[in-house]
Amino acid sequence: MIGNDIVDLQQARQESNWQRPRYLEKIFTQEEQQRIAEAEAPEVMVWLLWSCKEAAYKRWASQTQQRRFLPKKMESTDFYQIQEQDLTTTEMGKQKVGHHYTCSVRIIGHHYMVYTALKDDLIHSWTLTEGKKPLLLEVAPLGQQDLSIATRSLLLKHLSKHFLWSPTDISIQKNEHGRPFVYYQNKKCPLSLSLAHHGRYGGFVLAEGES
Amino acid sequence: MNKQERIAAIKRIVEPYVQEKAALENLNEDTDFLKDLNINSAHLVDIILDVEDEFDIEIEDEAMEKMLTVGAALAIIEEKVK
Repeated sequence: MIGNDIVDLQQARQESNWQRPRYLEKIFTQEEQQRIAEAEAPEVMVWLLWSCKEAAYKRWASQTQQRRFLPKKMESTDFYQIQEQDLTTTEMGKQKVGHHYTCSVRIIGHHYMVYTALKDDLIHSWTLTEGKKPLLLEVAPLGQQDLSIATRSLLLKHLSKHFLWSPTDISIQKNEHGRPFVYYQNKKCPLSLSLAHHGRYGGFVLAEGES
Repeated sequence: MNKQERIAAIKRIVEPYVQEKAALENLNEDTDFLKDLNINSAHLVDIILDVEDEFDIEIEDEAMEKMLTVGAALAIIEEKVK
């Protein structure tokens, strides 16, 4: 199972007021609120934690096929920065610069390890079944187009490059629960996929195996 | 406030968080905030806080879990303002 999430800090600044009364209490556990209060940059910590929780939620939702709004039952703990020398290419994707973090998110009995990268105004978080590695992990600025269409184009471009497939043979189709899957020549591929976009950015994480 | 007035109030509350204003025209009890209106989940928090302020109620975490549609929001409001 797989999940990813993007926060464009510039967009978040324009559209969300995290300092609004009761906002943090509604979505963060006591421990998370403490971490935000003690952070050097509380605003960035708000969105780092939120993004980790959202990535974990997407994985949980596809695993359990449930839809619920339960931000405080998504409990992030053990939020650590990964030192540069400890980073593997897997954890970084193509983002060789910036800050990288790991945290554990628990959602009603499920534990997920989430990786998150912060570079300038961009946060990208992802989580994948333990022991698996992403086949493709990408995030890119998309410009002024329709974000969900542009994110799919980005995915198509990378699928085509990776598998040497003709883009016209590839399609992305959602199942009845809204989970996206890759199809090649109209046959569902044994791949798991999570798409995300926010503000100026779109991205995805792709892994082998359907679950 | 009757049901229609409550739906109108919810519509007013969600409006600033909806990119695609056309989607608001057909707003009804089945409208899903995330799927139909493409509201992002960080804004769902704002909507919950706005509903609390508008109707002077407190929505606990348990009730909040279900608040994904206009109908679910209405049910919570009806329950709380009683």
